[in-house]
Amino acid sequence: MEESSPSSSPNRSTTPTPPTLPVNEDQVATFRSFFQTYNRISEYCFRTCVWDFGTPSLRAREERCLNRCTSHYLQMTKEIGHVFAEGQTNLMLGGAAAPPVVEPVLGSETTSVA
Amino acid sequence: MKLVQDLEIEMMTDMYARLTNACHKKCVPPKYREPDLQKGESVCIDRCVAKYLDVHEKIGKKLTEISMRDQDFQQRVGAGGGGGLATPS
Repeated sequence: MEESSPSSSPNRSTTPTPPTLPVNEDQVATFRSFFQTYNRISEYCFRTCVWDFGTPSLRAREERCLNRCTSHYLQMTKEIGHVFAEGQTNLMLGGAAAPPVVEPVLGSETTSVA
Repeated sequence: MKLVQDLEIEMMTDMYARLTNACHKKCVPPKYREPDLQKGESVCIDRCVAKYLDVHEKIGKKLTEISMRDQDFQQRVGAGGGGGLATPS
């Protein structure tokens, strides 16, 4: 007895409509970053949230987990971006308020650790 | 337009590789008693692919919704994916 083929909605679109289509080389990098993040979130949240392969469709619990996972991941990315930018700025300004783990650049006058 | 198509092919290829990796980890235990795929593994893979595509679609819709809502979302996502060097136009 053959197993039924996986359920597929007739209008399934596996790629989201991006907010703006890239029209030049500069926007291609941004678009590529968006898609890389999208694929990473898909893989990570799938591995974390989906565990029941007794059915081809998602369970309600899995869907709730996916929503939370996606929001969490995006907030984490935002936080990492903020801290990274701050760290880079401090580094460029000579490490005045740099975190202890950041090595002082050559030529900086102060090497005090906060 | 060709740029968009090439980019989409690249992203679909990446998605396919991740899907393969994820379903292999979920459905195929690292104990190989025989060379052929077992019936249970085959069914699991079948369902795993369906679910992954479902997940991909749902996350895509959520991201689109968030990006419509948040104007500087793309800047953060681009910064997070590109190491903070991409600047929005």
